[in-house]
Amino acid sequence: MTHFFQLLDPRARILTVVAAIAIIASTPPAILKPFAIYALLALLLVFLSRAPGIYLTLRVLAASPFLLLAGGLLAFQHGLTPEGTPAGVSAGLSVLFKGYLAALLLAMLTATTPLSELLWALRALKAPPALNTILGMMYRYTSLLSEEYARMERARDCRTVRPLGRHRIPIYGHQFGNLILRSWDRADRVHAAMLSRGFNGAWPSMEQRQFQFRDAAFLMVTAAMFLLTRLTAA
Amino acid sequence: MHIADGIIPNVWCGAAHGISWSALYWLGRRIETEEVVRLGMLASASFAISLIHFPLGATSVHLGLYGLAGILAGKRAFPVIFAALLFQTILFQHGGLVSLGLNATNMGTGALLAAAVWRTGLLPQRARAFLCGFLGVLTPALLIALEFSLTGYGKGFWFMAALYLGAATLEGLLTVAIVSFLQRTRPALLAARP
Repeated sequence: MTHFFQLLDPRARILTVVAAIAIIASTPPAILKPFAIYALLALLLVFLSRAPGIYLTLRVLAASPFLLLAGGLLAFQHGLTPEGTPAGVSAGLSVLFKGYLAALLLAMLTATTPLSELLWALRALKAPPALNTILGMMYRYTSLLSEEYARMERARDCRTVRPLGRHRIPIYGHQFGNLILRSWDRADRVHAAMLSRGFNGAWPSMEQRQFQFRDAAFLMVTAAMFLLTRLTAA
Repeated sequence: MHIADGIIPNVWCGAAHGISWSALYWLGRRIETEEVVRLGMLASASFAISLIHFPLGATSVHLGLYGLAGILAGKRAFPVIFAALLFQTILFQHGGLVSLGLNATNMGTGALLAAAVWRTGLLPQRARAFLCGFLGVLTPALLIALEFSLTGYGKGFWFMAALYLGAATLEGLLTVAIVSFLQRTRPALLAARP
């Protein structure tokens, strides 16, 4: 079933998420009050998108190590207050909240927007065609090349009776070099096949989308709500 | 090494977006379709390799291959790295959309530096390959430490950058092994590119 958020133009979805993250990130570190409202607004967007909760939770938690490191460093680098608590605790919490909310919004976007739509939106937003082509090829070939590498590893394991030991680095280097060589050769074959189908430097697209009033309205209203929260809290 | 959104102030992220998008257009101009397809495949192979983790002391590291990208793609390594970072942001939420420019600038600088070192031809090939792999990792680590120290996070990330010396050395050694293999099997791939 398609929900309201998925019906929006992918450009509107990307711009809404980028605007929301940028506004949240611009909140001064000393002010923590608006984060509760940001969280409510973000959850409202998640509800509208019907993104799967377990996926979002896992993605947000995956951001924890870097966020905890950055937040912890910021909290403790100001030293301790006379009461014994870190002086930079507000700044540290601010970084944590910003990071987690940004991770939630980004995960929501990617959970509800297929890569093909994101690529189309990037092209419509005037990103270079080469960027689109490289992204499209990564989407198509990364798993294929990973499987090819796994086969190479299996073949090596079948022929290796001793631990790799001090030869580990040259052996891995040769395997990686082999994978690069194979991918280079594959690129030539793929390019010839793409040319035979009429490839002219950009992916053909069947999308016939128009940026409608509701897309603009959703973008403006969402950005305005985040901005209002940010400005009234400052 | 991927900076998440909300950590570095927006002004920095905005400036880095300006730099990285300009570099993306400038270094990707007049690119032939054949080259784009090769770069796409190189990005896919590099990303597949970067998913493999190596034990290093009590932890594990994965390769970035920014130096190798500089060797094989020259200045086009920047569009490759930009695309790879955007791909990881979209699919795995490594990094973020607002901090994408910062991440691309950090890692792209490492690759461009490696490309410049590879082109010089002053050192023997193996020494250059090591330096490319080493600088490809250490340069982004140092840039991240610099950005964090300039934006009020103190000196903690300089310590993190020092920890990356081990990963940079491993990457340098593996780059030497990869380059040696390519030199024996397909030396044309290693021809210095602009």
